[in-house]
Amino acid sequence: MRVLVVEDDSALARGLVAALKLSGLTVDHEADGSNAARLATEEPYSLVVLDLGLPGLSGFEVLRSIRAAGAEVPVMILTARDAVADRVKGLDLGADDYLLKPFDLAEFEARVRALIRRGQGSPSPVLRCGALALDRATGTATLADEPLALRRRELAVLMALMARAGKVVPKERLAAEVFGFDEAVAPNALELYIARLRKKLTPGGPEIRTIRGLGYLLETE
Amino acid sequence: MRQPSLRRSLMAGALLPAFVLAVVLGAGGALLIHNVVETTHDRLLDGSVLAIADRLAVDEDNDVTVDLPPVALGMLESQAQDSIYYSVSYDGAPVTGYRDLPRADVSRLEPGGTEHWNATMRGATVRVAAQARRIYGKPDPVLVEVAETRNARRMLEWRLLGALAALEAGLLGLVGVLVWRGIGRGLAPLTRLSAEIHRRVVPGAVSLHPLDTARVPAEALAPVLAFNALLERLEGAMGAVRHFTADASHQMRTPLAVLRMHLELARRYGTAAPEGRAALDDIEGAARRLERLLAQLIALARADEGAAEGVAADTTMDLAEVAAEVVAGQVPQALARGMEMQFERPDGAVPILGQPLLVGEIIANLLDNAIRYNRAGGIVLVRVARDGAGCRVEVEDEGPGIPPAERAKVFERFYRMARKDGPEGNGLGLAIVRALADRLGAAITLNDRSGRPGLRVAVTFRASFPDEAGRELILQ
Repeated sequence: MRVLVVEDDSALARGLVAALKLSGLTVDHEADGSNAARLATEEPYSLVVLDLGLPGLSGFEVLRSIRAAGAEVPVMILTARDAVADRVKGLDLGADDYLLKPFDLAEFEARVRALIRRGQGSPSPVLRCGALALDRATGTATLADEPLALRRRELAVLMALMARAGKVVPKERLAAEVFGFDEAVAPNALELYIARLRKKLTPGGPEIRTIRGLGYLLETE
Repeated sequence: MRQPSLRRSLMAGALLPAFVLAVVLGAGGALLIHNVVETTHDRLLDGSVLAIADRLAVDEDNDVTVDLPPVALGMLESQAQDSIYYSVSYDGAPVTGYRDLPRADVSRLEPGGTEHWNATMRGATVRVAAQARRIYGKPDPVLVEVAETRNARRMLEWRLLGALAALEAGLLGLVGVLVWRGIGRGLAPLTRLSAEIHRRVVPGAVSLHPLDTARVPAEALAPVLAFNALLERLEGAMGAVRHFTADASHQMRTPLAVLRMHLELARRYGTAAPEGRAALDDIEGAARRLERLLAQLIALARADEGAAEGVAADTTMDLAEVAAEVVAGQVPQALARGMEMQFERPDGAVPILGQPLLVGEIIANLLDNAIRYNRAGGIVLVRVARDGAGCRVEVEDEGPGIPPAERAKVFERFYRMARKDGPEGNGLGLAIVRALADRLGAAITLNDRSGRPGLRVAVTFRASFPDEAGRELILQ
């Protein structure tokens, strides 16, 4: 799961990035409005956290251009403006949620999880695939009711595959969802995580199949 | 003191002349009445005199006789119970009638004509009519006099005067009522206006929309327009305060969000972990930002307050001395950021009109900005100059500068230029400088540093040359 944080205040951005990483998400940070608008339409983000008070291109304009480009990524607006008119404008422009500064970190995290779930078409926090279950609220997976020990990356890969179980997930898209821009990623890193997941899912779990030239597919039974 | 009243002064203005007019008319009327009454009654007296004179004759003894007809005096009888006297005399000797009726000098009477005068008889004023009549057989004229007391005349005069007074009083009263009601009608728009103003004050909110001038009479338009102008300015000022409050609270939310976020992160990581320590750093930074924001808001409020109270008494002061003090105070801050601080000043004092505290605050804010936005390891230069262009202080940095298009906007409160990776700021520093400079009558200009990147801010103060204190400062 990749999240884009658009925030010009560096201290707040550091906090947001740290908190989202704690939730097992991959985070990109962008302070400039026009760059953010481009990134949000080009990269497969699961969520955009958008501050309204950006210098240059304002948050409203970023949101407008994201929606104008047809991107359906969930957008959560962070703002210091508490005027009702601003809130209405933000939601009307296609924002999915609205959080007024200062906010509680736990609430922020809960809203992030809810938005990501909704963006994947499934508002329930628990994804199931045969004997495999993954609780997106807590970031824990179980196989036949036994807890499954997963690293952060493994969890991200599994979450991306489970969200589209039974469908081919292109390799580039999977990589783009799992890794952020500022991470040094080895060329075969994704294969490595897939191999580790396969090992942990056998026996009893669903199989991850490699579709040559296309990507990966999590089998449903 | 009694409140001046429009109604009272209008009433006085209308009724006083009306009253004077009534008095003048009354006096004229009284004179006229007196004349008319006197003339008509004199005619009656004349009638009696003529009736008597026509009966004058000379008897066999060549004496003057008169056959007094009853009608001659009967025509004078009235309800007033006037006493009537007559007398006929010839050559100073009474022929008939009342001997004590004062007699006129016959020689002075025009023959045939009748003369009238007032005389006193038996303790009362009487009106006398007299005629000198020539009769055949006598060489001198015979004097015929008839007199009556004045009761009837007085009564008639008083009755007529009473009627006149009643008429005038009625007229005055009518004028008073009409003027009173007219003024009431004329003042009704004012009552309507004050009622409308009262309606504006509803609990919790005051409407500052301008009053509707459509039904305001032309005479009251000027104050209403002035009032509307005041309302407009008031609304502007209240809008500015609302805006400022919103901006100020908005400005506090981000550092507060940083505080809460990093506090929670520090709690989760623990302060032993590097992430926890980084969170503590950000907490400290946010606290500093809030502190600075608060200090700047207070400075701005103080500058505004001072502006509202009017410019305080400026004194002659040495700009160079104050600048040197402020620069020395900020050197450690610059050194801590690896910057070099330079100070240039002319020999001798630079006398300006101002207040040392405010001038110092201006320079401190400019220096703070220069250090904040300077390039790493750059130079901050403070120059005090006294030349043809005036007495000024210039602060230069080697930062990115301010593009000309932004130069007017950076003085606005909370305005922040779009700048990638710029330092945190509240957008208040230059607003404070502007407010303080306005108070001191100083001018601010923003320029590029000549030929190189960087900003040069110049503040030109009011010079204090002709002043005795200024000369003394230079001579020291």
